Amino acid sequence: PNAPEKEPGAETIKDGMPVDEFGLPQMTT
Amino acid sequence: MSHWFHRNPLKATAEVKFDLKMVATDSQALKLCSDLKQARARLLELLPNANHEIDVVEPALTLYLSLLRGLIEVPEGENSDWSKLRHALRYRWSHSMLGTKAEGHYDAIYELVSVLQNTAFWYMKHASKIAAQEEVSMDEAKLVHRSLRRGAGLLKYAQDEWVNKLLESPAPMSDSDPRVHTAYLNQATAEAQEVTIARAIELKHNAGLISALSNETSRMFTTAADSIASLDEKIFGHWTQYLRLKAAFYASYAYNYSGQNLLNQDKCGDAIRALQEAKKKYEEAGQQCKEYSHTKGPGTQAKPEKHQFFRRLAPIVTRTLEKCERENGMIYHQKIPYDPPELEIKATYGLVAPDDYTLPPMAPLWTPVTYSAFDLTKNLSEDDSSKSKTAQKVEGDLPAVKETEVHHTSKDHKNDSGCSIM
Repeated sequence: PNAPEKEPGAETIKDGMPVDEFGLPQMTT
Repeated sequence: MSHWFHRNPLKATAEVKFDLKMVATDSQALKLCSDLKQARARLLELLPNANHEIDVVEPALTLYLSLLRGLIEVPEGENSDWSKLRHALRYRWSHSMLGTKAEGHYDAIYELVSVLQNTAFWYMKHASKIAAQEEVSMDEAKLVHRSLRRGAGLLKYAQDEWVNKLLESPAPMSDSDPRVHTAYLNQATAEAQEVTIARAIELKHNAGLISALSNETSRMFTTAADSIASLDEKIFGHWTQYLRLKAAFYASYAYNYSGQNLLNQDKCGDAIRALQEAKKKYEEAGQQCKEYSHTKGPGTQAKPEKHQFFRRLAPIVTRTLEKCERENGMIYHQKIPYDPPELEIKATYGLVAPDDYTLPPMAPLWTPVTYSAFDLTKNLSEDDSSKSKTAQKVEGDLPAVKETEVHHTSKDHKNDSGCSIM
């Protein structure tokens, strides 16, 4: 099996909003 | 974040020889005893040094617990709830807040709980060590966050799954005392959120988001402090002060960002009142820093008031308050409410949950054959002498663990939050 790309517990989407490893909304640059 | 985190001492323990008697000499069973002894010694050798990497400590914990599991549960195919060896050996541990006084039990679950707690304390110390570096990269910030989550996860798992299975109820003020556990769990979780707050400030996230997260963090520190408030002040006072000063400090941050958020919505009168409250809470935090430094008790001496993340807030609050007062006098002419505005109770983003933890699978050496090689009757009869109260009294206290010193930089960090964990 492939190694997971994210550490356990790291979310990518919360309430339809992409979030970073700290659970904060991703900043668009 | 030099000297930013307060840390309590590690637990000390006595050597366990794992000298388990057998029906007849069995090489696999002998190897299990030897592996248990070595794996325990290896883990205990690593824990006093917070400089080790997680990749070194975690496998040592996994190895020992996979072996220890065979002293708690029966191998597959056996028909019983608990291993016949669960009460065969005596384990002695001190508690993080109770000095060198040791508590011993013939219970492998007591050993399991103690090991999980001590490793959780190592994770908290490891996070503190990384945060104390001169420059902390983004990857290292993640490590601080992860270490605190894992520490919280181990504590939660020990308390939720195993403490209720101990032979005796936890002693008051011990590490399994629910009040002490609540303090540690909330501290580790709140400290992980501190990392998130610093990052949110650095990335200039929405003021409302930072305010809500700061408020949640302040409440978590308050919960931690309240849970140990009824315990002996001479022992717990120093730690409690740390938790209280962090609660006041993050309340100040919460009101400061609430003020900025209200000003962005042209609610200038409310913003002034929020910023006045931020100033008051900041002064409270400063006073509590002094009380913390003068209160004696177990644990390290953090110096948060000297840290840039602490110092930076005062001029921000003053500047924003002056700006609001000026604008209210010239433009808004709004009434300043008597009571401070309500803060957001629930943060939407950035809240931390302890990492889930489960025991590793039982070591493959534990089979029905090796299990049956151990002779419970021999173990019990030969240990009777050492079970007597007199024999246990002679054992005495345990020397405190000699922890390796961690380097703390005294330099300021060069970024917006002053926290450097970006």
